[in-house]
Amino acid sequence: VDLDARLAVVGQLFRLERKGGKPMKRAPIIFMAAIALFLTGIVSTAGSNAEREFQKQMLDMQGIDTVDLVINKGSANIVIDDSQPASIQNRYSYLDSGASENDVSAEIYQAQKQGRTLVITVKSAENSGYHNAQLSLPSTIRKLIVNEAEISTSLKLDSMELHAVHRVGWSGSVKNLRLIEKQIACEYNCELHATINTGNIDQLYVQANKATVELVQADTIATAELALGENSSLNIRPIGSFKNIVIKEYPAKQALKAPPEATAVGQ
Amino acid sequence: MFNLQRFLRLAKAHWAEYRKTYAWFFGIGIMIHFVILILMFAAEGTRAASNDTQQGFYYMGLFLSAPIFAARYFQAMARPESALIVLMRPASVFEKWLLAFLVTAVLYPIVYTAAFYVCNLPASLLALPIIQSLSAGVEKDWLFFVLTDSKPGQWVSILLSISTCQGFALLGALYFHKMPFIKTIVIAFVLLLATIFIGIIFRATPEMLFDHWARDMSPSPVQQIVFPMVWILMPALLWLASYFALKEREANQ
Repeated sequence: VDLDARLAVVGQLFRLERKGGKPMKRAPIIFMAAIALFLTGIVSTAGSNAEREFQKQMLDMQGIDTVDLVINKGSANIVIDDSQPASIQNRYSYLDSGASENDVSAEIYQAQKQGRTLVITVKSAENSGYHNAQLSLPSTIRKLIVNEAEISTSLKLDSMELHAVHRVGWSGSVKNLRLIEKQIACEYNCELHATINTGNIDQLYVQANKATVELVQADTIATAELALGENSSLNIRPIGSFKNIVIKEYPAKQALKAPPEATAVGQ
Repeated sequence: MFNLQRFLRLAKAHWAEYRKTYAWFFGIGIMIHFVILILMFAAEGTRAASNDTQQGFYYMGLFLSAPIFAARYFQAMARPESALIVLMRPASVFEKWLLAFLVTAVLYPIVYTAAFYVCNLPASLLALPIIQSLSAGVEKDWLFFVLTDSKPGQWVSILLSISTCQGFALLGALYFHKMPFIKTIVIAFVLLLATIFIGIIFRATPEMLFDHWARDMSPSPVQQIVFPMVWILMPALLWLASYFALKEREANQ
């Protein structure tokens, strides 16, 4: 196969010539074509949403004051708001090649009432990406149990108790906020990252064996009591607000079996 | 245009001339691998032996070293006196280009993978007792990384993107007569900036393009045509451009 001859035929078709009749260099022209193609590919993604959404599902919150959210792969954005009905909407970022839509449709939310607790399970398929569950909950909720979540509210809540494992963020005003490290069998990546972002908090209590606690606006927290294990770390801004913070020793295991309820929420 | 006997003679001559250079290239790569591994063990302890870290080592090493290796294939072209020797070799442009493609795009990833497994042996041996001490639920995270773990779609992405990077590096080495390495890096940097700039202006989601083979991100009908075209034509055009760059260098000498 005479590739040169064939390419010469293609070259003659385009007759690329510079001034003075010299043949134009083909390498930079082909290179520019490749770059133009690449940038076309980038531009073609404009306005596309890489995330897929599931249908919003309403939640029955009658008689419920505790929500236990179980997501095996992903995190949650929880908004506490009375102006909209309680609901959950799940999103996932991608689906691995080789997986079919049926794999994804097998994903379900299961909402099950257990006394005053609503257990919501978001089960994801093996081949899908990380999930992001969007939850809207009423202010009657007093306790949230999550693995990873960002929680926010524009209301002034009386109390909230958060149980979390990996990463939890709080933004909003509350009289009494309790943040407790969820007790699970964990061997890898067990540290709790807790960030208290904004909002006026009268009383904050954090209890964790190994945690990184960040108080982003510590001057808006009236009193804070942190019961942290010896390998934990604390980040306070501004530093002048440290006088409102009391750091205590993390309770021993025996004490954890019967957690102190002296400052129990909702009272 | 293509003569098998002549091509084999060219390959033998190339091997005789560059085998020591290649041995040094891999030797230095292995040394860097171990230095980084020791630093990671110092910083992260046994986590440096995790499956994720092993994967990271493999892909980082491949994506960084493959374009450098490709750029160095025609390093003799950077000097007029040695460029003349390369261009005067008794072989057609197509044969020289084909040998460059086989050595850089086909042989290099295979040899790199084999070398990686030898280098990664200490990490996997360190990971073994950790695997045994952990419960079944977290075991997978610490397993020795094997290439078969990757899905076919991921492999298509890896091979095509490596080939694109190598085609780009080889084109730079052939097109620029002086300081080709630095000039190619500058062009790559300008392209990166242009991509970011265009991405911001058009509010693009580039991961849809980059993850096209690896993940199903529900592309639109237009994207279903454009994305495979970009992925397949990009390396093809860059390698074609490098063929013409070699041809034009030969014509200009």
